[in-house]
Amino acid sequence: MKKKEFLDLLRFYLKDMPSVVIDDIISDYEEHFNIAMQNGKSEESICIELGSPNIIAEEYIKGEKKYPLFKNVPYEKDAFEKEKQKEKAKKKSTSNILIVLLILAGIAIISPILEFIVGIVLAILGIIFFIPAIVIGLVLLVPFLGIAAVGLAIAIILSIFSIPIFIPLVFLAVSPITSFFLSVAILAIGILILLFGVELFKNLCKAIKKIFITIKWEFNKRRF
Amino acid sequence: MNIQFKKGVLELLVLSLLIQKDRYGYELVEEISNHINISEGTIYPLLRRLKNDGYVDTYLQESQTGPPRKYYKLTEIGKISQQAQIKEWKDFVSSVNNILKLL
Repeated sequence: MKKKEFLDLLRFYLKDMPSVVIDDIISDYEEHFNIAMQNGKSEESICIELGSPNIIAEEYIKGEKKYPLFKNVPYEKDAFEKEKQKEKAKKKSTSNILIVLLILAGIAIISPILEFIVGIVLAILGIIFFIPAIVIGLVLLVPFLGIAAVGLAIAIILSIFSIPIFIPLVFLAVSPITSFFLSVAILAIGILILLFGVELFKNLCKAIKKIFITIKWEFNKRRF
Repeated sequence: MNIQFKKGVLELLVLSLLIQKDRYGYELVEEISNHINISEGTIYPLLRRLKNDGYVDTYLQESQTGPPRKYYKLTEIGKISQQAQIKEWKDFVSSVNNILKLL
């Protein structure tokens, strides 16, 4: 292992600590590497002598545990792994839900196209087989191209303003299939906007929390 | 050598080396690892804990051969703790030897 890899790993394992503390710790090891290399040691042998960055980081975290802030840091390896796996599982289920919602929202765009295609297929069948089929195809096509476009435009404008109101008039003019998909789609888009807002809020809270931890850390240090 | 012995005695060694004179990190590491086989990386966390607890202080000193080095020195509490730990160690060693003599 080279010096840069060692220091990068150490920095990674320390990442839950305030950055002033991490920088101070890393500078100690920089100094160690400098002097050791001046004395003729190779980067690899220095890394071997120092030992595992993971274990070193554990020692630092254990040492800081007496400060009230750090009581919740799980330094036991098993507890830490369990936490990581719980987070992974949570992330997976949220992303699954997101995918489903996106698909539903996407249907709003696709459904007129789908019914357009269906209309064309039936029209072709009619030409090949029966005249009534042509009639049915045309009957499906014309209302969609015109009214579905208008209905979709209105539905999109409404969902942009996050108004989950279903205007019966718009949907009466459109085929029942499109109206069903459109109502589901508006609901999905509304939920997506809500989730996005929640995520934004959560990230904001995290950033504020980190700043707060750093300030509290400095304050506690002065007290000791 | 038993890992438990090494861990228990590391703080005593660091404090005792410092009561002799102020030293920089690498110096402490080399002194100890010349006699005992340890993971050198664990000395720095120990030093940080000692500083947080008020047993040692640090200061920077210019060096001719590169950037300034961080020197460690004992505080008054550090000196008292070192004396206490040396006594504890001597008592412990003599107790163990007394039991071993009987066997």
